[in-house]
Amino acid sequence: MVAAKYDEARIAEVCRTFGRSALTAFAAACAERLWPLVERYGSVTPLPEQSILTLRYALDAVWRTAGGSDEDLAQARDVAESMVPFEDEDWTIEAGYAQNAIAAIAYAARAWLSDDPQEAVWAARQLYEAADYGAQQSSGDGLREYTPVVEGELLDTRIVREAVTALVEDLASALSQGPEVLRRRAKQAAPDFARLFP
Amino acid sequence: MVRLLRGVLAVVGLLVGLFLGLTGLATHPPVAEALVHAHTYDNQHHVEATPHASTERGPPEAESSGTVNVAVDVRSQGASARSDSVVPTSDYGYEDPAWFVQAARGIRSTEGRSGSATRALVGAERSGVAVNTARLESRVSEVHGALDPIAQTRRTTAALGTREGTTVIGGGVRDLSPSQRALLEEGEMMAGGPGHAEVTTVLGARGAGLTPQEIATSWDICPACQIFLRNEGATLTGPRSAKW
Repeated sequence: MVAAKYDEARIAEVCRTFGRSALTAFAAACAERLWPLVERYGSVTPLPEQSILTLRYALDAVWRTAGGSDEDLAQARDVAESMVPFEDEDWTIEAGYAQNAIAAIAYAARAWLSDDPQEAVWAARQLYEAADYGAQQSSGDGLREYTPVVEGELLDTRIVREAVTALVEDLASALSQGPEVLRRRAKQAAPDFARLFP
Repeated sequence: MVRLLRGVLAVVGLLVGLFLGLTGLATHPPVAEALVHAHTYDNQHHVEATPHASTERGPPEAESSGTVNVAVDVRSQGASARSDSVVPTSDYGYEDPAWFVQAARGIRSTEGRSGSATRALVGAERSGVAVNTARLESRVSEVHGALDPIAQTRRTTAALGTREGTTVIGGGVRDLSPSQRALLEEGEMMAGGPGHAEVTTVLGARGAGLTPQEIATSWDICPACQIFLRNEGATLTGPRSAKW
């Protein structure tokens, strides 16, 4: 089977055709698909429950804004950006997932605030990168040469294939359907996707 | 005359290239073709990366010792290990005289990233090392710059030159991302594994039978990694570099 591949330049081209609402909804969908990983991070890290609720509120605010509500997303952006884990904190695999999942929320807010397609592309990258990070967990330590063969193996893992497929679907939905449909689909698919992460 | 002609041809080539590029962008691709078979990344926004005002990473918990903790407390004066404050270079105990010269001039670490040329001038006998360090620093900058703006502020990248000629590039506790791996060239390998980027690359190189020669990192080397590098036989040559 030939694995679908992630091409950020093409995603950027598609995003450049989007209006502000579709752009934000696409980015929010990326964050929504990663949301269970935020919860997982919260479950293994001594974070106050309020922190996770705040992030959830931030992502919901992005969705509401994409749907037409008038909200100030600067705070949502700031909160999310401030909560992306550093490498130096007590590191767990979940912290790696959370780096991507929380950054995706920040980029979704930034997509609306700036109306810049690149912010949505950064959100898309979070989804792909999180999946790649999950796929790498079985690679082991030591020196590795990343040949096209190795890259192909990573791309062919189920977790990466699902991420790429999700991006294709969400790009199409953002163009043809409203934010509410996109949100429902992303939210529905998120738990199964999250279960693929080791 | 020949030079003038080459210049004119270069400008014409650039204009033609720009025109073709714009024409290509004007064509909207169908969504179904959103993914193609190239592993490419759009780097156009890397210049928007959050400024690296903070320069030092704290030691990993597992590597902490009493000595290290004291060092952190004294040098960062109790501030966050990766705060937004600019850390004066003079706070570091570098063994390279070149850096003492810089510290005496009051150059701050965040201002000295392009100062490889200055360092190279300090000791003629060290010029070869400085050039190599500059090359490694440049590679670190490129590979680290492939990360998205938020990730650039959260992760570390290191490049280790070896006597055998192979350059080992690695991330910190998180290995290189796909966009970073896509930049690896012939003669470069990726080191994976837990620990800070300095530890990952040095241990990765040694594990592969390579001999570390110089290392450059995207953030200031933390106290724990300074100790690690010294124990490995390295001498710190700057806030983000060391040599063997």
